[in-house]
Amino acid sequence: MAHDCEGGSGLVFLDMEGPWSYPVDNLRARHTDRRNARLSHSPYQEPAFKDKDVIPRLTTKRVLCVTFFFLLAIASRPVLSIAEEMLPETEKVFGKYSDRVVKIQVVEKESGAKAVIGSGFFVDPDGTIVTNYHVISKLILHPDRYRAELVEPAGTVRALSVKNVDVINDLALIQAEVRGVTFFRIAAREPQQGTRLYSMGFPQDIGLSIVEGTYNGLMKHALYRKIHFTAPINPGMSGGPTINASGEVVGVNVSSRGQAISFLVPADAVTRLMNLADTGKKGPQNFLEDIRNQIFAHQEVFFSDDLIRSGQTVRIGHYRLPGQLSSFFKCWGDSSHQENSSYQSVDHRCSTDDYIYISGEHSSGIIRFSHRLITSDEMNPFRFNHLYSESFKSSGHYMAGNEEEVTKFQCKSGTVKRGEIVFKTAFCARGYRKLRGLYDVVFKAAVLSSENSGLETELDISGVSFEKAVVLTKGYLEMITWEK
Amino acid sequence: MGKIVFVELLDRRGNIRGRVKVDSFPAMVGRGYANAVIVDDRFVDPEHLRLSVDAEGAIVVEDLNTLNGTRVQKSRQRIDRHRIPSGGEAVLRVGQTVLRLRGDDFAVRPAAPSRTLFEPFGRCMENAALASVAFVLGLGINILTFAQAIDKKVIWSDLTGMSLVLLIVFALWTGFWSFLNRLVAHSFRFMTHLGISGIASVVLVTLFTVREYVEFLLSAPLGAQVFGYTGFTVIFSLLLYAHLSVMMESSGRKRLLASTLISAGIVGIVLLTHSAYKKEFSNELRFSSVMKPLGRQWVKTVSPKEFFGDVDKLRARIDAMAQEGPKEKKVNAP
Repeated sequence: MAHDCEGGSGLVFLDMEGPWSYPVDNLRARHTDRRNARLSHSPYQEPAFKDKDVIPRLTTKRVLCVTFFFLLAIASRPVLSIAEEMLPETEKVFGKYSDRVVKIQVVEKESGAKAVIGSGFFVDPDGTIVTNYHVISKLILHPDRYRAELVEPAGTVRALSVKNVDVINDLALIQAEVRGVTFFRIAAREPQQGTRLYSMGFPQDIGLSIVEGTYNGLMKHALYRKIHFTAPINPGMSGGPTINASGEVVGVNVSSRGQAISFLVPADAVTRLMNLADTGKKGPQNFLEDIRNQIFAHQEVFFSDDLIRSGQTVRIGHYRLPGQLSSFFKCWGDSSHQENSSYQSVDHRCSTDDYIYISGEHSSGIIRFSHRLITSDEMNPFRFNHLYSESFKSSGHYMAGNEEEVTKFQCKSGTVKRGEIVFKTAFCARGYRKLRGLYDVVFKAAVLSSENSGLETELDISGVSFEKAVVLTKGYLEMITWEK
Repeated sequence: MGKIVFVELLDRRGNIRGRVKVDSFPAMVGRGYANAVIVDDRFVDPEHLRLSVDAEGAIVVEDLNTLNGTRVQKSRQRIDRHRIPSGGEAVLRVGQTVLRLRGDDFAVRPAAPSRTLFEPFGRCMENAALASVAFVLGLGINILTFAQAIDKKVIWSDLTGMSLVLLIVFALWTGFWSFLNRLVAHSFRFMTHLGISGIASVVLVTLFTVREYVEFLLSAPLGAQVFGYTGFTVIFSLLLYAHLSVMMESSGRKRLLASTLISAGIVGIVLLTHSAYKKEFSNELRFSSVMKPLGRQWVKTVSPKEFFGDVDKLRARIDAMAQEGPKEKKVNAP
């Protein structure tokens, strides 16, 4: 079935099963023709067969004429199909499905100017749209300052409201006040690696675009499930669908890295979010509560209390230290032996490769740690300790955030003795203002050593409960041992 | 026995530039060479004042109808006649000269105790050789401190550069005080001020080293900070006091008060700036980080349990900060 969009904006959404594909600008005219063609089948032919009185009036000429047109109609169909088959696949997909993709903008209320541009797509006939959480995060965090709008091709805007969010998978369900729209189906199974997929969205706000690329499976060793899609997805396409040739959504555009490495949220996450019971109209506080609960639930699964104790270790100098804790950590190492330097250093860093987006400046769910062994044969102990102190003085954490979202860091310094090892330690934490109960933590420790050799290590955890942070930090400190 | 009067010529700051004993009256004061007291001031008449002693033994000063007149110091009123009772004094302005008149019966104050703690020290610094040693010591200890902070292999170029910078700092500081000294007391006393600067820099470096050890051994960054700021205030006050003592001849108590106020003011400004900086929101973290090669066995340590127990207390502070609510930036409608 075909439907006009409510409000008479002129936008016509095609039925998902429509056998024809047309260029977007001719949609209305061709669609009307096709609808008429479809309708002409059953209701008018039935009386012709029942009413026997009419048959004797058929002349041979008329029969031949009807037969000719009947044959012509049958013959024309494959001809048209062949013509259509000859169109490039991308053009066909775009023509067929582009009207299910929408532009979403988040507008700053005072100035009336857009603050964020993203993409989305319909997933049911009642105007439910899927997009990324990060597209509408400002609306969730500052509902008094922003509003979300759907921008139609003609430029008219419609108000949008948030239905549900899944911050772990960076998804949001939003509602547009339209009915009977054409929508995407969600793919039931993952495609084969190498399958050609099509991503749609509004890159840089320069109009709806389609990008062709290949499915390369789920990201390996990732903390959050993401599809590796090889195609150049650009800002503004976030929240747009990536579909297969049959028009089924395989993933939701979410991020990119490098030239053509892009990532999609898998379709099953969309299905899960859609299947969540509709708990009625929610206020901004409910969404914050949901986000907090999602993060807590997630950290219970992935950041278990034994995460550090049960992980692999690495040996640097005489020290054994936490190494690759699990498959979703990536570790890197390097050493420095500069000609003009009077010391040498060995560095080892591990980090979860992904994070949970909370706001433009603020992310959560990252664990990073780094070790650095500094040694010097040339320096006197005073010079070496000065170097060691300077190296320890600052943190290498990458946590962003602003005053609206997080408190300032509060620190506790001390000298901790565990067995034979004495550590200079600093534990700093800050709390999330909107998502109460979540904290960022930076822990730094340096081994006090009488030789011209020192080990310092730093653990950064973002977006976890305080208890979890303390448990992980304790485990981290316990894992540092000295070996002969 | 006849009356004796002393006429003293004072400079603008009240220092005595000359003293004349007058024991026969009447005596004349003026620019002329026939006077008992000659005042070399072109605004003074050749015969300006007449000094005499009345029947009660009081000194009487009479203006001899002069062009610019005679005034009692700190008064604009011209006087024709001024009587100084027995045991008293008068400070008079004639032309641009200040004269102080005292009789031999003027009661002086008893002897003051040795003026300052620094008097022997100041006298030592009068000795150019000792002052040079103090300066070299100060320069050396500073260069040594900076040398500890260099982590490159070849450090001679850094040391030379740093020494030059230190020399300039010493020269500017000492030059400033010498210049002030010249303005106030008509002499530079450069070496004395240089010696004082050298000794002060040694004491300051020692203070900062002790402060670092306090932080390292006691694991008490706040205590070390209080110690550092207090120590700096005291040492800087004493430094200013020493420079002022060399330069001025005013009361020791006033100098000490002024030095302490200036020093406290400087530390106050530093603390205010530091506190304003700390109030600013920042994602940057700086830790207390002092580590030393000596005295590890005396470092105050805690067990991991105690440390993480204290860490739990942080949470209440952070939660209270978060409770204050998000600091929304209000945007005014255009």
